[in-house]
Amino acid sequence: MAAVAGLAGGALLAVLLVFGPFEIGGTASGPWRTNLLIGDPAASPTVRAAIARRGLLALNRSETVYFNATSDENGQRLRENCTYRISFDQQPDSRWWSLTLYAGDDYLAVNGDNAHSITAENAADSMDVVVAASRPEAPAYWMSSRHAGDFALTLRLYQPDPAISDDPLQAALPRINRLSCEDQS
Amino acid sequence: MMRRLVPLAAALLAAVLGFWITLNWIPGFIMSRAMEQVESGGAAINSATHAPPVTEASRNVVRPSPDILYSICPFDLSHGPLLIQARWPRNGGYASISLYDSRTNNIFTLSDRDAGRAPAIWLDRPGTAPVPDGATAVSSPTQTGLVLYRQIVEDPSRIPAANAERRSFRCDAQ
Repeated sequence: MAAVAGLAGGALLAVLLVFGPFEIGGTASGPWRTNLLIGDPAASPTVRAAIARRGLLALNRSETVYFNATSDENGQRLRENCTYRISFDQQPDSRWWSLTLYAGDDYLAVNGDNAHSITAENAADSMDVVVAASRPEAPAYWMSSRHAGDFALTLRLYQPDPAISDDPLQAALPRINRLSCEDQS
Repeated sequence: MMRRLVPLAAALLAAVLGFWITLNWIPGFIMSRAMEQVESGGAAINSATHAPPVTEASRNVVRPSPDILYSICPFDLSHGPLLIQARWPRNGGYASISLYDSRTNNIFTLSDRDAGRAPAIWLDRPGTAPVPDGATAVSSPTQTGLVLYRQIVEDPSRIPAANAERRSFRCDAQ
């Protein structure tokens, strides 16, 4: 009886660990996290399971480096009801890149705004991107967080500079600053 | 004392075992669910399916990129190898073919930077049939898995052209 309970408890713990709101493995640069073992057969079972959950069919780091952020520079959770400024000092050093906003369920937010991403083609070398639930009144690079809940940002660097593949923390990453929140004075 | 310790030790040991077994089972489970979803969306085994451009309604695989066209080929090598072919985009944009085993490992990737205009990949189980001339041989550690073709769409106006180009991606059981 004790063994059966133990077996079930261990299985439940594994499921909670992988499907719960935890960041497993990887390294961080400010709010950005990346995992060097994405797609790698050498990944531990825990890391492989976590990547299967959140990054199924991702490429390994020699081809693409993925950075994910779920919080701002101050460690506050990214939320739909706040407005953020994402500041690029320069474009990421890769053949192609994109920055995409994903809702809390890890899919694109269903909002009809057609403002889910910014890519290398429609970006300036140095720029600020506004992340907000409604389009800014002044012209700006904008990504919509409407109906995204507690959201995540994914920065994909396709065929990055080899120095970044070797050490992703060398990448010049944009800063994520919270400007305001609707529920705060 | 021992009467209490033995069940406790058994429970702890079983918990570690349950944890380990479940962790190792999860990737295969997620991959099989993804393959089922892909197949229920109309994809046939050992055949390429060109998924519609990603929209906010797309729900087959987590975190899809709205700036990339995806084509997919679920494979099963139980009856022999698979020949995978494509032609890279004419405009020099990024495209790649990546192979995943049934445990979600990215076992191989070939991009337009690595191979000539018309790449061919011969996918087989380890130590089997000879490889045709001009094809890159890849051994899959598992009998089933997925092949994913990615093509970046630099601008929405290029979707029709990119959509036509990526139809050169194909998988054929041999």
